[in-house]
Amino acid sequence: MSVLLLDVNGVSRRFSDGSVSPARAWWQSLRGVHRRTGRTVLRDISLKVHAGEAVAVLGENGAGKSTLMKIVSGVLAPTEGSVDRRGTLGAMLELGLGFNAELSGRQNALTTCQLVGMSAAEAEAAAAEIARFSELKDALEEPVKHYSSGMALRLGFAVMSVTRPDLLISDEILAVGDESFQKKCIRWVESYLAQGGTLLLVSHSLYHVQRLCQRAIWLHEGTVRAEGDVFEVSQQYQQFHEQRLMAAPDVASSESVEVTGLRVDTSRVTGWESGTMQVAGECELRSKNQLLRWQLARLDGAILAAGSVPAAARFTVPINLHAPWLPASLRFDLWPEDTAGQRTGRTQRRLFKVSGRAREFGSIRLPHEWRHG
Amino acid sequence: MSRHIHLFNLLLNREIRESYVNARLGLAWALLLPVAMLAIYALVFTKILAIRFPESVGVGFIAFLAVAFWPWNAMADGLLRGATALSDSRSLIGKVQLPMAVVILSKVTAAFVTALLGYVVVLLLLALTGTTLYPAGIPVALVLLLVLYLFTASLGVLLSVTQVFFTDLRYLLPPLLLLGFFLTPVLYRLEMVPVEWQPAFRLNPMAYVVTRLRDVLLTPAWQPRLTDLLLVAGVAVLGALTVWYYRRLRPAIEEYL
Repeated sequence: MSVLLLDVNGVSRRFSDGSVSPARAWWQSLRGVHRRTGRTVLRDISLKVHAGEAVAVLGENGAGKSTLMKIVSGVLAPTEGSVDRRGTLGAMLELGLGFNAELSGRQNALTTCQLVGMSAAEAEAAAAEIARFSELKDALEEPVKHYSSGMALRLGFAVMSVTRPDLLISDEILAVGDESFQKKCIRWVESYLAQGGTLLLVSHSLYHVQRLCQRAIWLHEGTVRAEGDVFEVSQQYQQFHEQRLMAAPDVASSESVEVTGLRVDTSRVTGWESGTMQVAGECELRSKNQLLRWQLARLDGAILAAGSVPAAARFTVPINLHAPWLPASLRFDLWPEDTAGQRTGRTQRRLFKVSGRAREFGSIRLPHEWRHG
Repeated sequence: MSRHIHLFNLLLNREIRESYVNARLGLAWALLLPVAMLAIYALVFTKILAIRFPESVGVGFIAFLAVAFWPWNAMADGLLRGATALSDSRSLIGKVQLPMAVVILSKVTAAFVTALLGYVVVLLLLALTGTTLYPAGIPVALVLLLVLYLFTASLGVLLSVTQVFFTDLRYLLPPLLLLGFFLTPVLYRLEMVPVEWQPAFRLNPMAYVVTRLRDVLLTPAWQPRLTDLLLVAGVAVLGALTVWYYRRLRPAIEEYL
């Protein structure tokens, strides 16, 4: 087993819920009284990261991801538990890395390099690489207060790239900046990982997470809900979101239209060949402008076909799946809508599978042939 | 520890440079300001108000004022910068792993060192314009300034941490410092205070520091006193108290910053 770079052990963190005034907190701290009240943001989190691993942290807003990152990087102290770190650590928690707005980009870059432990000479030597990576050119000599948030990000990432920490902690920073710079950052992270770097990544982009990480931890309301292989955890996380989307009414219940008794018969659908899918159900009719919107999609969200039809109290729709489908898990969604495109009721969803074996990827099979020479 | 010293040096450098980064003359201001201020005081106190000490004091008013005024300023600037050090560095503290004490001390020290640089300039100017300064007093003066620095650094940390919990402190501090200025014999001699008040005035450590500085720099023969030791002991106690206070409150700071 490679070196354990990060060992988070039973970490909990409480924040004041505002019930304790600053003056009271001051007096309690002074007397050495430790409060048990407050809002618990993290509860008993344990996490180990070994050298060379890339671990993703998933979770909704407010799940405690950023608090955990701050604790891991030592900016915030845990209320309970311990954090052991080994090796150098580079944390990009928010954009800008604490830049001073009055100083130029170059001066800030030099200071930040030194803050993470470089000598003045090393920082000076790294400045050229920072200038190259950030592509800021002449703007590097301007005060940071004139920078756009994208420019500050470029500078921050460029500084990070030259410091090459043993453990890189990144909180949602890959999602900012223009597309080409974002790609550059991802490429850099990939090369960093390929050369043995270690990453702890917070991201809402499952694409980035699956591309960069092998392991994931899912935080939910301050506790670990799942942990393990990145694909398994991110699929569970995605399913959780889909289920919740379906459970939540999209509109006020008094106006919502219920589609009931949706039946999707896919017994005649088989892989590789065409088949007919029978869709049937009932729908309340509230106005003439009522539509039924349907879509056929893969579980990863890619839509294969979609359309809308005027609503009827009872409907039967034979959908001819006349295409050479590749094996996939599919879903059929149906929901009422008005003509303005506003959703007026809950989504009904049925899941089914097109089974079979194939060496190809994608949704449909296109007849093709590779010729050599 | 070596990392802390590295960070302290770095932040101190940055603080000192940043104070003048937007000014055209840059760091030269650190030297020009004391000269300009000395000229203004000379004009106001010797020409307009025409303050004169009796011959027996044996020293001009400007020299008398300057020797005490700059150390007082170093202390006051240090406290003012220190008090808001944590709230001013919020963005840095939240992003970079940085001991808060280092942040506070670098700010206090930057203000103190800048003011002391002015003190050196002013003393040189005084010497060049005919005031007799006694070189024998310089080592003692350095010790006194070191004590003053430790006093300022301790109070700065105390105030900075307290300010996180009592934000009004930043508005209270300038008037308090002004009051302190007038209760300390910077503009006047301790002997000018009504006799019954003098013992109370002598309890003020700043009064002791500035009168001692005058003793050693402006008079030829100074005697070591037992009270000098008392001053050093007092600062040591204050320092220990500060360390205890900082450690106690440290975990609660982030939450209220």
